[in-house]
Amino acid sequence: MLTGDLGQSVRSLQPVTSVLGERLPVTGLLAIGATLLTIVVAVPLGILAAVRKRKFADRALLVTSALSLAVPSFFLGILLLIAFAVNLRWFPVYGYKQLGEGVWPSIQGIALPVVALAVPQTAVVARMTRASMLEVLSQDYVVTARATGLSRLRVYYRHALKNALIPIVTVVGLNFGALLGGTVIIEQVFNFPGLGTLLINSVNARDYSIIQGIVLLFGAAYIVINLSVDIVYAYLDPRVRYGQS
Amino acid sequence: MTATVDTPLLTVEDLRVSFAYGGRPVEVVHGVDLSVGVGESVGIVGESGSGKSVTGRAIMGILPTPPARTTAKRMEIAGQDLRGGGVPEAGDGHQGQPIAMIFQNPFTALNPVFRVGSTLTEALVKRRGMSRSDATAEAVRLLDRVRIPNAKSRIRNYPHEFSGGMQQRIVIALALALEPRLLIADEPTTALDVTVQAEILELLREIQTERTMGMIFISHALGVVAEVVSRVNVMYAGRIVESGPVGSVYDDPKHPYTQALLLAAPKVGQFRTRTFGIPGSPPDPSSPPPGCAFHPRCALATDVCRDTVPDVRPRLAGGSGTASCHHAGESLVAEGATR
Amino acid sequence: MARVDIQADPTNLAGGMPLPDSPTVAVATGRQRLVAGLRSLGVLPTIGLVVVLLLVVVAVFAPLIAPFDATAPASIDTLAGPSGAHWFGTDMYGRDVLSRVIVGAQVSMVVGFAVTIGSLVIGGLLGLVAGFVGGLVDRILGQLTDVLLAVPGILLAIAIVAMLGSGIRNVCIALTIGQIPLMLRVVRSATLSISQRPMVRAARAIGARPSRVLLRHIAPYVWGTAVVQCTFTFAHAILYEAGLSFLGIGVQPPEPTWGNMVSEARAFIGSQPWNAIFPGLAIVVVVLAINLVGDGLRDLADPESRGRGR
Repeated sequence: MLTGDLGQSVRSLQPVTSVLGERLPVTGLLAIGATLLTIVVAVPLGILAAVRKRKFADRALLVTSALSLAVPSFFLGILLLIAFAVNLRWFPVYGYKQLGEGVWPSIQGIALPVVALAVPQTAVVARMTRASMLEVLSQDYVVTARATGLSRLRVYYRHALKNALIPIVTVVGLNFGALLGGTVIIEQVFNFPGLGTLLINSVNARDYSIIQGIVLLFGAAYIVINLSVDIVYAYLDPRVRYGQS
Repeated sequence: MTATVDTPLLTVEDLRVSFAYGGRPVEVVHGVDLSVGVGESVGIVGESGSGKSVTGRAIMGILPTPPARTTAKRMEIAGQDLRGGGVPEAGDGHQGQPIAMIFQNPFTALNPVFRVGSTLTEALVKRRGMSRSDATAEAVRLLDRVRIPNAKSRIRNYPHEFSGGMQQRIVIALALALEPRLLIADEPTTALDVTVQAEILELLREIQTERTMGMIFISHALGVVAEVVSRVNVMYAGRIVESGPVGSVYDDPKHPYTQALLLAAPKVGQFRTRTFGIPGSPPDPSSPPPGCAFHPRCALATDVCRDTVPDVRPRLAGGSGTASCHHAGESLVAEGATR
Repeated sequence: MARVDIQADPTNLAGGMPLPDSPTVAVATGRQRLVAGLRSLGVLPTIGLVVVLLLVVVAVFAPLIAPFDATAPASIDTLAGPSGAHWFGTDMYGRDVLSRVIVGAQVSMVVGFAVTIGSLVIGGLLGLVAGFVGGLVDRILGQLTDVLLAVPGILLAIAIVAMLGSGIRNVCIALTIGQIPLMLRVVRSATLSISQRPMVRAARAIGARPSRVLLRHIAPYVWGTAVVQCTFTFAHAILYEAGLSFLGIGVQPPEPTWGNMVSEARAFIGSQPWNAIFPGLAIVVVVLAINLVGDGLRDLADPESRGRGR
């Protein structure tokens, strides 16, 4: 570990870095796909709930997010498999096989695990978006924007959202760690040969150098993500940008 | 009701605003009449909670509905009905809007994540139909007009890089970008230092004259109001209790509340051994007292005050202005009521 | 908004001065407040509490309640769906799924309570010390928590179990290590903000012993915050234990846990999905119930968080 590479696998005798490198794209694809899906779904949902506060959409979001936070990811994955792969046959049971066989089969293949990963994240991020938007919508500059006669949509999506995004970015960043943890389980459920599957195999084989490598890699990813969050901050909030110089 | 200016710009009759948070709606503005002439400057003074800001926001159409509900017998600017709710449109496409508003706290009135130039040009593009480049040039002109030094380069700065006074100037520029015929200024100098306050008041006066723009100046500070308006309305508990030319109202207040306010206001060059406050506090809007809302705090209150809401009556026979008091004209000081 | 006032201050050393509100800190001491608190908990949290208590009872009396032996075949009919004799059906060995779900509650509850108590005692004490003493101690503890929190919770648990070996005791140890930093952080920040209050500053100024200030003036106020965090710890512990057992590195079969039941049922979701659905639903119900209790307690302790949603 102190020599700079991560040593070798005691089982396959391959260098740990190259074993990890082989598996990283699979896990990365799942994590990034789930993050994108989370943002695309959660932010508009959270805004809708904030704008329609205490109306049906808001209550529905609170209930579904509470529910989805209580569902363990492996169970959610299995429910998705039962519903959409076994019964409806919309998606394959072994999605990994379809990756790289064209755009649509690839999307089909990765859809269920990405959804299973994204659901709990979506609950967290949508709640945060709602709270953050409510906070921002009560600010004076939102009143100014309204008094300037700008349309509601413009006030929400341009004036309010850019401010509301600052805490949302933090939550997405902080939760990336949890998302990486989620891949470990989801890869098992959907038989994806990523880092998570490698980890479980290594635990069963007592291949400690691989386990150590994965822990370090995930820790490093967490740090990189946090740095990126800081950079996005500076883009979103000019006060941060100038405060640092 | 008597308008002092021949060409009315804004006419408001029987404006009522209520708020409903879950339960029974609570009325906070109870039938306000207001008029502003073309190029005229009118003040609304009162304590916090008197309904003066709500009145301004109701006219501007920016109260959140629900919970707010606004009704009026008449509310129009230059013949255009304002009762539909929402921020008034000019009606003829990209011509700005008839009313603009500036607010109390310049530090929070501008969006912190946008450059001031972008906030201004957005208004010009969206509300005046200008091209991007025209809008940028116009934004510089507007900042120049409100005396932001180096407007051309400052346009790329963010709000937090300006002082409070400068930010309030930018807010004024943003209002002017809409080419309003009426400006509603809601305590625009309260958050500022006294010297900066004077500069902003001076600027508002200048712009108002140069554009023959009407203005409603809302403030709790009587002295500040006197500097910019020709007519004043004194509000208490959601009603205008006294109105009239600023000179005559201040020199000869008819309503005990106005008298008390003037007594309570400190004056430069006057040494007082004791200060005068108005005992008690404004009523809770959800359970207003019967009769005149001021009677629990009024030294002149009699039985009639306790059960009958006073009519709006002329301040002086044949003169302009109104006072809503059963004892209008009786003097608080003469009664020895300075507790 | 019904503001529940539980901020009244029995040890007001500031001489009747109004104390600045500290919205992030839950304040609740004394038994009468707990009772009053429960009463104003609200409908959903109360339902959650009832469900949790029921499950505790089920777990304690599991062998008596379970209609069949959880580890021995109860029917020659394997992989059968729900029926009158076997409400939740039977698994691949013909074992009664309902009995296994009931007995499986034991593992979830034991792990939930063990991890919660462990992280409350260790993380709570360390958090009190870090927040109260500050300085080097605080910095070292802060950096340790940062390191631990940089690794995803489930990964940390897997790594520790990989070193210690599987089994319920080691699962508890691994999960406790993962939850301590969270508890530490929450208690530390509550301690810090309470320490800034005039009554605590006054107590220190008049020369009260630090241990007395900590136990008498700070701990009771931090307690509410810690209890709220405990509910989330409990929920986390159950979810993580289920995850580890699902992955095959937690509690090992044939001892039933909800996680390893779902795992065993995975292979048969094509023919008998109920085998996976019942134990999975059990997890959902418990975690949802605990989260409801936690949300209710948080709203009670911190009316601001509820107000923020208006």
